Amino acid sequence: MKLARFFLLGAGVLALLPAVLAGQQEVAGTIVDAGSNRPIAGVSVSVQGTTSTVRTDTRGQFRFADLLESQVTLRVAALGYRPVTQAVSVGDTNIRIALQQQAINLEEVVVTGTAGDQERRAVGNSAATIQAAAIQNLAPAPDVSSLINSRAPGVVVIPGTGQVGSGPRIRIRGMNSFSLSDQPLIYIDGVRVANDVATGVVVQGFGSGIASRLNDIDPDMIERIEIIRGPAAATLYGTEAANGVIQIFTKRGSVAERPRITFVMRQGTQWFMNPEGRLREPINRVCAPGQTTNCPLVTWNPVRQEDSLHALGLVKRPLFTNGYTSGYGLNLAGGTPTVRYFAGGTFDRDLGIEPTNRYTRLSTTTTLNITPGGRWDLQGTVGFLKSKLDESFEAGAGGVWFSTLFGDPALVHDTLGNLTPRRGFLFGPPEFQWGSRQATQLINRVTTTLTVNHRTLGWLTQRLTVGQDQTDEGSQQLNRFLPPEWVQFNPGTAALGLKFDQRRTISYLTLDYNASAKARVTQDFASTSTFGAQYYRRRVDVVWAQGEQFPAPDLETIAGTAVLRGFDDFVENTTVGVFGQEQVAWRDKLYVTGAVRVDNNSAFGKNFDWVAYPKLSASYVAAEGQSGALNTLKLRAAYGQSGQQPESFAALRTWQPVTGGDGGPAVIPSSVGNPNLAPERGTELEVGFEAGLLDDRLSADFTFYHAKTRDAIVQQSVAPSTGFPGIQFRNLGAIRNIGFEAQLGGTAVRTHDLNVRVDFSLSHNTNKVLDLGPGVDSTSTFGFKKGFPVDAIFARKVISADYDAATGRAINVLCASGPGGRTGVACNSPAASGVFLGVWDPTWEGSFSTTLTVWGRLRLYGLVDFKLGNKHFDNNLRALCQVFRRCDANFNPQNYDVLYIAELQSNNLAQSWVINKASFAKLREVSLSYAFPPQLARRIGGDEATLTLAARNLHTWTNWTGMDPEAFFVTQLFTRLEQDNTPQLASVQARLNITF
Amino acid sequence: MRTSRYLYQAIVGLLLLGSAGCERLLEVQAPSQVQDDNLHKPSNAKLLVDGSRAAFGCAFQAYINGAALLTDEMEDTQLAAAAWPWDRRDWTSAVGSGYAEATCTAFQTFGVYRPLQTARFTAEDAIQSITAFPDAEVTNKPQLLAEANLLLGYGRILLGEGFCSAAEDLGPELFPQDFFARAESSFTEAMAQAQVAGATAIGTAARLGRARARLDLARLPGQAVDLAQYGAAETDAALIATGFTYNVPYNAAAFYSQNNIVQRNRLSLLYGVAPSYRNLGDPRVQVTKGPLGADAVDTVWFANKYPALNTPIPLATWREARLIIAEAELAAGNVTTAIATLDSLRGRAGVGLPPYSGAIDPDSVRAYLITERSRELFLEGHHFWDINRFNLPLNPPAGTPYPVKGGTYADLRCLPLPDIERLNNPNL
Repeated sequence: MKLARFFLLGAGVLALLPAVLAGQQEVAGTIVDAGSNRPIAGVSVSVQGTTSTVRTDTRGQFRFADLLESQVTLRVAALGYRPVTQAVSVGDTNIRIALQQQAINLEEVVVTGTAGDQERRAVGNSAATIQAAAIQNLAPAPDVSSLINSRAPGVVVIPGTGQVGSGPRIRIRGMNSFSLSDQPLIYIDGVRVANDVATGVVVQGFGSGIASRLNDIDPDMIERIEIIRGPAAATLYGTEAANGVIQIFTKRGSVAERPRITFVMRQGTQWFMNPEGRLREPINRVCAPGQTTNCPLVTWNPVRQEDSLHALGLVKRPLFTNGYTSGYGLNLAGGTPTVRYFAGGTFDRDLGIEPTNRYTRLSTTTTLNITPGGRWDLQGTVGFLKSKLDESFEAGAGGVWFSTLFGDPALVHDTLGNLTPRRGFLFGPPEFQWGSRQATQLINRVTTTLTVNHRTLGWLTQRLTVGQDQTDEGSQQLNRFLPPEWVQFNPGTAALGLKFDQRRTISYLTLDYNASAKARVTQDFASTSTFGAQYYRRRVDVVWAQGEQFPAPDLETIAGTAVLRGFDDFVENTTVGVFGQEQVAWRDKLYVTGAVRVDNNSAFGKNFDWVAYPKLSASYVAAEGQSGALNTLKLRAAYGQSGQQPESFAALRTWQPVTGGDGGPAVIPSSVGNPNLAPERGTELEVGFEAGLLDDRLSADFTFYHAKTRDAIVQQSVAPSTGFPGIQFRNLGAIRNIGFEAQLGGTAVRTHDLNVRVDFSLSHNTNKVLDLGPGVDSTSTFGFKKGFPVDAIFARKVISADYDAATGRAINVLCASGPGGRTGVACNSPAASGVFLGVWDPTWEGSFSTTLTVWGRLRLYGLVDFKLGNKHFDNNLRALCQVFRRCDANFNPQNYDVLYIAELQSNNLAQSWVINKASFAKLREVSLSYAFPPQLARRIGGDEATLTLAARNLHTWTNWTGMDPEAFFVTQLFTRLEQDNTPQLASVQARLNITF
Repeated sequence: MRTSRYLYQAIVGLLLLGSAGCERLLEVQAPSQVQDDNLHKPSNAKLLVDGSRAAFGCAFQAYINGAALLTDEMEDTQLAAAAWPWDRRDWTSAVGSGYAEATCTAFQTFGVYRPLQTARFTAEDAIQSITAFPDAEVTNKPQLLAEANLLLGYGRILLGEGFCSAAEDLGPELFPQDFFARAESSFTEAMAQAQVAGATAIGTAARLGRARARLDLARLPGQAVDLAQYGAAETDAALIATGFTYNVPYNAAAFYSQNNIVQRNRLSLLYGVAPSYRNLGDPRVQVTKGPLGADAVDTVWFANKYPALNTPIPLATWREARLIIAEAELAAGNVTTAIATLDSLRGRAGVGLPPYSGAIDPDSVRAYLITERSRELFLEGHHFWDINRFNLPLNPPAGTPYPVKGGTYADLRCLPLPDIERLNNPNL
């Protein structure tokens, strides 16, 4: 109710706007680039000593009205330019301010990971900032993960599947845990929100959903994203932040004479690039009608087959089609010095390459900034999302991919030469796969945030943030009652269908308070003391129901089934923490910050209470505002700790209620528990610098980090003889991550008509298992191993074999064993070693992008990103050759290396033959953007207009043997295994922005 | 000013909460789990035994299903390669092996070692807890202890019959004879408690369980026959009345409580009756031809013995008692008595098969006995152990190519002690 009152107040103030705007005393002018003399759009212009801030339009123009003084001081700041402060006379409406380009802006305010807002100069750790709104105008991203991808070194986006509406895992600075989530915390405007990945129906089989909550957020509603990458920066976030923090800041209104309305429309298509060439063709002996011996080997290309059948009108659609994508957005923004507002909404509808994959999203964001007096300001945001994601089945869950990749040429025609009902597809033709099952995720999500800043005294400021993120998630699967002609493809009770519906309500509550006291100790020294307290609560309520066996066709509800099951449950986790921080500044050049955070979490064991995380950082501005080769230089170093709490009930010894054979209640052992369970503790040291070089043409940002996770929680298998199932979480391990992140960007050409900007980023990470507990060198033959990377790949490898031409089989097969793997033993021997073959995740990743701006209006942008140094498991190859035996190597083994054949014939004992290099580079983004001249924009009814033609994933350079080096199971923490996953799709879209 | 006051109040409140009320803020519930401390109370004595029965029931159906696949009772008709070692008899002890680590509720790759250990532990835990509870605070204490001991005994029987070796409660490696000896003690205790409680059915089942334990001890794989144990087994078996059956109940309400042999065979079409048991013309082994299996290659043959998810599975029957008597008589050299006992069993009403007409040398009669055991106790979890203790030829023989799915049949006669136990048990 209080919130409602708050917004009613805001609405009332908005209604009074016209009266407030009457009788204005103005200043106005234009902001231009000092080098090219071209106007700059989007520049922040504020009146010092007030909260009045406006942004320049596409003509670089700004205007303030209703000023009371005769003279005011304007502060002008823009991304990539040196800020300017200039006194102007009120009444001057022809001001012209030229901005000098600046490679590094030390006055930029950083919020994430700091106690209160801080200028970048004072921050001792690295913090990546992604200017989302600017990127969306240049190369619009379809979702937040695409926005982040390749724009923050060290932040690795791991997509998993190309289905529309799917979301990736995000991994920051390597692997910090053996068993806990690797996902960073996500905040929106200071409030913690859901960061779940791999949610929804298990459409990937073997346990993996494909939807992520990060991608619920509409990228067009975001102003900027800040990312802090590790414990050194995340100390103040405490016991859950060891994986880093992503903070999203939504768009806000700025002071304007009149409301600005922006309409956005995008139309496009996406497709599976070159499917005929990328799908491995199954091979088998196929006899002609009447033939029984010496049947020839025939390959099968399902894409060509279905194209042909479609052309003949024998099937309704090709195997894969282009997916139409579209979106429409409308924003309203504006405000007065007292009240600023932004209200925006978008509607998106994207179709995948299968008819069962569709994504529809309606999202709105409303933000009010109110400054009722000199001491107070408030910001409230309400975000609402409603979406429906229809998902295709893939991977182990079957679906078209499974049936296509493991099809059989011998199943295409019957003995009379007629097409069979399967047409070669393993478990039934595509129309059966699409028509018999559908998975859906429905989302209703509301995120509310309220931040109150109070400048209590000249030296004391306070900030209180409260907010809640609530996601109502409905995951449904409907297996339809099969018509008689389809029963053969899924016989038994499965043909009668089923429906399940899982409703989860994921709720995050944030209470965050901090107070900062500033004091000038001497003329040279200043002190800032900060105290803060946070309370976070996460609760997930689940209601699950399943019904099996519809008695008749066309029934689609659980109530219509014969066998019903269901349950409800909830899980809670709370964190309470306090911190204190002291920062000492010397002459605005040297900043030394020390802090301690103390946390408790409900998941800690009962024998473990509070945990304290210290932090110490320093930054030194060695150069600033100088001309010549070195213009700006900030050196920084940070040491800090943060943690990762265990699973919610991992500390408890519990028993699980079950149904007994007599139908009555019973309990069985569930979790062995660990009363001594403590959080993992990440400790990190990072050092680096930010520099502006060559007359601010070049910016450089470099960070080296050394991180160690102690008390790493190892999921230790429980000996079954204890009677308890599964695993026990124990603080036994230690992991080390070392790496660097580098960004280099600059203007290669800067003339009146042409501007060429080039950016390059590179990051490297290596990690090592330092400890697995007393006396333990490895968790298993193929598990974690001391001295090796956390994501090390161990597999049996054949080192010698002979070929028996008579049988076509490898004989005398020996696998590596012993030190160095030089001794040969039988592959099924326990002595066969797990040979180290590499790592699952890339050790190098980076990007290269170029922006070409012609005549200030036409921009051509391209981005290539790359991930190097890793391997993946090609389970498409293994299953086709080893399980279904439809590879050429099955029929012509004499043409292959005998070691390869030996592994292929090893019944999955030896796996090195399918663990292959997965390094790649992708032409990720290409765009052509044109900002209409004002007169042209006015012809189509607006003040400003931009048309962008953008494409994604147009080409991949890789030696990966599978379909796509970015296709695998989203849910897997370490293993990267491709099996029947939708590859990343190529796409192209046109986008029109018009502002009125 | 009012807003300012509210803010100060909020700040003060937050600090107070932080200093004094943190523990309350951190309180969360585990609403779907019973915490260990809350469970082991006299008022929960029956619940502990109910849990033992539930755990045993789940493990029992999985053991029967697995043992049937390892022998020629059932065959694989599904496509999950991780489960093929059941039928191909090539489980290794490696970490991750399904037989050791998977659950008993899984349909395709189900497990038996951990479920059996859970069943054994749950019964033992119930016995220890209930024994320690004051008599006055536990209703029907002797009966509860009798049933828990019965379930503990059968848990140990299956661990001994199915595994080359295993362990209990992080203890040292135990071999089949160790498990059978411990089972014998459990059954003896169950009989004593049942007598106090007047629980006749439990007492009789325990007696038959003890007969089975003694029979197992009488003929261990690769060891000389122990006639004394045979005699002791026969003594117990002879006291089992005709018609006695002690079933393990199943319920279709949940995966944990249902007879998953039915789920895997009839409903999910994952495993079918193997050729050796089709069309035998024996009313004790009736099968029905079903549709193509989940692998879209093999036809699934249904076991008529288990038609529904709530069909109970016999744990101890008078039929088994008669077979024990016949075997003991044969071991004692009383061939005629053995044949007569078997003939009587197969000629009973409802079966009506003709008497044995083959040679009466001990080897031939032993073959007759083994055949009768395989038919009479079809899909009741006995045949795998019979193959091991009688050293019977494997069918198909080891080395035979495994059809369609690749590889060859191996020669596994007992399940190995899994590495998951060896690596995590400090006493191994």
